[in-house]
Amino acid sequence: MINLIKSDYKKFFHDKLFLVVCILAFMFAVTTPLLYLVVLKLAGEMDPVTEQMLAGYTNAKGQFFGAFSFGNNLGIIAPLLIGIILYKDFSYGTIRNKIICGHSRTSIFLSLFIVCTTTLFGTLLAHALLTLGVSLPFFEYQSTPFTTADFWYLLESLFFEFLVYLFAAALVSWLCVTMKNLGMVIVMYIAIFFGFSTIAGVFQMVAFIPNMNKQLLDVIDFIQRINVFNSSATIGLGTKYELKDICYYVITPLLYTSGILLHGIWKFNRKDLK
Amino acid sequence: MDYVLQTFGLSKKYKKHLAVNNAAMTISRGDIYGFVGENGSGKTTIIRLITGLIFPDDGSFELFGISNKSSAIKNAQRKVGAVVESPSIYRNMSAYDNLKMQCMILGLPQDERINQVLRDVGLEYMLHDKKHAGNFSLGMRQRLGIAMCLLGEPEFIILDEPMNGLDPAGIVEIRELILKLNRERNITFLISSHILSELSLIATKYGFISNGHIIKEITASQLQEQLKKTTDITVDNPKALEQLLTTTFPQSKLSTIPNGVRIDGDIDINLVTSAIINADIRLTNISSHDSSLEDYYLEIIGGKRV
Repeated sequence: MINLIKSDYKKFFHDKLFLVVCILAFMFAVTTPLLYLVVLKLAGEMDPVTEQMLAGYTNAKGQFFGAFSFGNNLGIIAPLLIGIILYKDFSYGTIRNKIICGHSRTSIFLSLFIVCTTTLFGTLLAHALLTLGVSLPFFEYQSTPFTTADFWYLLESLFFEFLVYLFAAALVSWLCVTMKNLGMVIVMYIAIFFGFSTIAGVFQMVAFIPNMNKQLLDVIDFIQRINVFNSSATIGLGTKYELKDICYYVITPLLYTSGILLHGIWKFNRKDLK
Repeated sequence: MDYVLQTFGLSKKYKKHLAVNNAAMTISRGDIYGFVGENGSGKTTIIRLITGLIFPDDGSFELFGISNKSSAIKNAQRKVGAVVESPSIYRNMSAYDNLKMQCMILGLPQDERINQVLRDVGLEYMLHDKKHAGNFSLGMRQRLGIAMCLLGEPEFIILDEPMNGLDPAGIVEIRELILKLNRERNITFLISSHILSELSLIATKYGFISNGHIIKEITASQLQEQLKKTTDITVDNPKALEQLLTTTFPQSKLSTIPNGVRIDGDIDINLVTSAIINADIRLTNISSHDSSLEDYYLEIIGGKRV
């Protein structure tokens, strides 16, 4: 499988689309903090609602973790573009070279998944670090001094973000091996992304309805927590994780990822290739 | 017998269409197996089955004596190189990068083999050329596909329509390359092609397929024996000629052609010519020819055109 991984990396780094991903990552990292700076300057004295809306972005920490959000610019585009690069093995028919020379379909699929995970998370991490670098001259990291507890919180949050993008990479790899063409990969990714994001948005609004039934609120909270597309937006915004948070942020993406991977392996091992 | 490939009742269904029906074929080590069949007859489906791209619904096959049902089939597949339908290449990479990718997939050290295979297929001038394979002509892509096959030093090469898109000089080069690899490295080939005249120049064994079924397998020497020789004679008086031949050569099989007669099978042309002149019949033309692989193929599939 090492040979497959090496060749998949070469394919990735050789593709001009990956350069596009890198350029976008750089562009968003530079412009996003500056845009917030302009917005905050223009907003001046904010009313409580606006202040609450922008709360996560008035410091460098918020912008750093915001850069990982699935719903943010690069969070939407990067998995899709990386999926398109992955799918080239199928559209060019080069997947046949791997099968004909005796590589198992399981290792081909896992190699795609590993390369997708590392390039996707690597890009998002680089994007977030650059965002942090651009933010720090203009914003403080957080309103309180940075402590050891904050450092561990940062590491925990990065680990949770990694699990979120592990799920995203599994989803993209799964789409590549199960869909019949690139068009279907793109359409299905967008449909799944917007489907889950819309659900998250709707429940977010429902939760704000006054005098809501407590049990219903608990159900909504549960659904929101198991919606990985939503959880990426909440990681890193607090100061400390409770055990419940850790369970949700670890178990949910791992469950989804393993389910998707197992189905992908099963399906790919039965799929007729052109 | 040392078999490279044996299939046993191989069948494949696409929805309701039976693409391959109980196919049984054998390829021995050192064979150049010409795989002949009309469009949609199941040639490419069989090739896909034996290369592991699709799975049989019924039957099985053995590659180098290892059953496709065994997990060891992967070891046998490592000895196989194939170009199925169109060459599988990264269109956004140069010839050299494509070969480098294939080396990585195969886990091979690179440069020396790359130079060698590019020379083998006549693409040595592409070694330092950065032109993307997507901009290559179809012929160059075919050669690159074959070069990628050769990288792993396979013992069995499967080429699906390798002459497609090649110019006449390219066809000759590929033909010579196949013959050279077969002769010098004892590489076994399975070649499907519509250009039967080309196949007849290289194949040592043929498999004829129609409607997903292997209808006949025959060696080149057996085929040669079965190919009929015919002699066409045209004269000013065909009726007199027919009468003369019936009496002079009673064992020959005659049939009528415009202004003359066709004799099937071997016959001494000098004797026939003398007999015609002695009978005072004016001879306008006499020609003798062998029936071709195409004629044989059309005959066994019942006259359907390729």
